Amino acid sequence: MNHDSSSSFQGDLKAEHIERYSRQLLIKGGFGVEGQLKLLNSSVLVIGAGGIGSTVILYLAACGIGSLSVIDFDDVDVSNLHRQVIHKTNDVGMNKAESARRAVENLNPTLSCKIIKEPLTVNNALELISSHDCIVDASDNPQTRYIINDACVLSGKPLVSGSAMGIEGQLTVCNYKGGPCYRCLYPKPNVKEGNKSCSDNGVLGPVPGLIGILQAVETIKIITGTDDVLSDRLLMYDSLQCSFLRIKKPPKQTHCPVCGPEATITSMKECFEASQTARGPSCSLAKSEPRNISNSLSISCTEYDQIRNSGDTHILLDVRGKEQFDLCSLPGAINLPLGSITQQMEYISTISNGTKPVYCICRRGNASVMATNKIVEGLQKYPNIHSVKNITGGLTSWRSKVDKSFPNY
Amino acid sequence: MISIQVLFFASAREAAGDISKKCIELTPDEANTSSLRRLLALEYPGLASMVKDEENLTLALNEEYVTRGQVLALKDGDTIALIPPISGG
Repeated sequence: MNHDSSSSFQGDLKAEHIERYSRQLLIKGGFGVEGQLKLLNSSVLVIGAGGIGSTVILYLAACGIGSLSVIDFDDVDVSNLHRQVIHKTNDVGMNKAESARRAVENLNPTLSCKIIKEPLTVNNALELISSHDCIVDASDNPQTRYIINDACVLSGKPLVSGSAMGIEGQLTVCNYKGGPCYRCLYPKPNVKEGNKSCSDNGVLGPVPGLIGILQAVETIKIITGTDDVLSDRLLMYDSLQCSFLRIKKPPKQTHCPVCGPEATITSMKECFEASQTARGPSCSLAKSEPRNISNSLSISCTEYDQIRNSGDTHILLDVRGKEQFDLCSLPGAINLPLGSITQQMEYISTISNGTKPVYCICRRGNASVMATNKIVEGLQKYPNIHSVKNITGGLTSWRSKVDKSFPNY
Repeated sequence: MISIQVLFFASAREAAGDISKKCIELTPDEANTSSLRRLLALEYPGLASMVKDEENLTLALNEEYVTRGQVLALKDGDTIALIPPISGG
């Protein structure tokens, strides 16, 4: 297997190519033999082998991109399989790029598939991106998206950008023939978006798949030189309404910090500094730093298990959102989402009734710390709240330390 | 009064309380994109931090981006879309 990302094919179409690609070679007004040769001679880098990457990688492999590279540091988890259809149940635990390469080799053994089992960072982005003809952003967090954009601008590569969350997706081509870049469109990371991840917010399986397929189409158009690449528009897809909105983008922005005439980001070092504020959870790495709380306000899962087993009366407040609470919860838990705690102090006071200690729990032990602190702040005003403590590590820790049969999600 | 349609996408939809579209009435004085941002911030407090900041939430008027720094007049029947980025994949 040739793992050089440079083009792997020379000369005319061979019989095996004509046979394999005949249905796309025959498209009326399509790209024909010349277009197929361009595909076979091209190199494409796909960043991320997740929900979007799954379909874009398969279709790019199927259509005969000569040299396909896939970068992903993450391993396949069973919760990925409802949408990351390139991976199979047997692949759980395997690196995603490795699993993707196996699928590609099964689908089209005539091409070269190179994989990188590392995260894309400011240190490797420029070298990787500059050695490919076209870049597909199938990543899952804002910081990586800015790093990819900046490296594409600095190396003059077209960027096919796709994203999906919940029931929606977006698609656009950036930095194409003098067109606007991702920063022209989104100059700074959205305050709300930065805190979101698929593992917390969910995603409808086919939505990223569809976005990935559309990215494959745009990639084929860029490589074969077909007109009307989606560079001047942003496509917004709403799956529940089945609506496709095509928003006309602004031209390249003169104040853009990376592609404007007075750019301040002229190297990946400057990109690193500028993208620090864009940190957000990767879909697969939604583990934020534990929040601070004093030891006297915390108990461990095993300690709380003892309280349950001893039969001591208490209140268990589960401060996750309703969607998560409906998935699974501990018997007897009362669902009061974090955002509602301040309004529900009276209620908490009533049920605690001066006698029952209150324990707060959530998924990983972050929201419950905030809830505990909020309740502590109100203790003077609501003296009937007996006491409050946070259960460290939340239900994730409960699963690993107390009850292995509790669902993992 | 003029009436415009506002479309909420992605995190803007969530911040406004899972509303995907809303018809909003504006007085002639308020019939511009800048006043609309202020009104949306008042109507949907969860959306305020986003909608007040042009760099955080882009507007599209009748399927065309409103360039930053630009204040556009709104007329009866216009559609405004609130477009935050989506980052998941």
